[in-house]
Amino acid sequence: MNFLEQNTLYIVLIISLMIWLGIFIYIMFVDKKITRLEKMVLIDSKSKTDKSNSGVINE
Amino acid sequence: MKGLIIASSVILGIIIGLIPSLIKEKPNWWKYLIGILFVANLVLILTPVLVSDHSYANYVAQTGIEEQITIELNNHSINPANDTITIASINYPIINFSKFDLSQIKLINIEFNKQNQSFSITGTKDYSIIPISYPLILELKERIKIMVLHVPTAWVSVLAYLLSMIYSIMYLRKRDYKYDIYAHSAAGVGVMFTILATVTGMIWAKFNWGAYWNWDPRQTSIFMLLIIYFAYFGLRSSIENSETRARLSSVYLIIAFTTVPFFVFILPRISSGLHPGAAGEGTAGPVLGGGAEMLNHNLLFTFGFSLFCFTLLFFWILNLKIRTELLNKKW
Repeated sequence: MNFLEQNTLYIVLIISLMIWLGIFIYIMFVDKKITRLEKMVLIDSKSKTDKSNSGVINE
Repeated sequence: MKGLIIASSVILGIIIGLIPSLIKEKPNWWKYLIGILFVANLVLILTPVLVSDHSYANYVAQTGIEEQITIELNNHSINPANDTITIASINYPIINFSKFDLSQIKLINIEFNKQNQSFSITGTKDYSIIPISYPLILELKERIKIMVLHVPTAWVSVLAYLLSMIYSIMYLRKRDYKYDIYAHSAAGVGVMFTILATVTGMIWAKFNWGAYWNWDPRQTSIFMLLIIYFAYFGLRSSIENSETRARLSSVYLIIAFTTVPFFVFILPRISSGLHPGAAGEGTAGPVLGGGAEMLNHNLLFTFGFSLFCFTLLFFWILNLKIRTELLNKKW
């Protein structure tokens, strides 16, 4: 603690790193969520295409 | 040298930023690389000590400012035989010389005493975890480090607006809606970085100029730029027909970009103001100007590195924004 009191710039560094870590984790979280949604949309559009194709064959 | 470092940072940032493509999910190594690079960037920006050179120490002595400054010692600085320190070819007597073993020390704190016209050594200093130093400028002190965070955000916003113009031209040529989405996303991320540049600049201005907003030419020009791009979002949201919306938005973004070089690079340099590089200063500012007194080699390297990191971050956020917009359209 004595070190941090004498070198106040390191307190700024720690806070900046914590803020960056928060932003980084949030962006990673958003990225993963978008990837999951992309996969869901892809599966959804594929199942729709399959349904319409099977309908054509039955007719 | 300066131009080479800055240009290579931006070009390398664009090349790595486009891996694997603008719209595909970035690989995990790419994401973790940004995380690690930004941590290194913050450590590199914040921890180095501010050090003055011998001629600047002499300038401080001549101006009579009673300020404690740190100088980097070289072999010829200290003369133990007659207890003097040589600063810019002038010998000054040293007080408290015997207190410190100067053979193992690289950095010393000195203070000029006006009454007896001498420098006294007030203490010693170690390098931080990064053994480099940045130049001390009395008017800026630690605030000089904000430049390495503030300027890249402004430059990245210019890159974003440039991309939005390129994709707008591509939309008008090919009439493919994906280019409209790319252009719209780039403009959105560009506005976010412009706001970041404005806010970081305002905080700096408060402690350097005394007020958050001073209507300095550069502050005015960035304000105009924000209004221009806010108007774009207003225009876009007011048109219901998707074809008309995409066409008018593209035309607007092309015209809007023609103002960007003027507002960011030209206007603040042809009118007098508080910002570094304003007319009457004789330089184009610490980054684009030729002088090395503010942007020495260490700070230049950090600036280039920071520019590289911010370019990568921009491409990541742009990638997320485009993928979200595409999902929104598909759903």
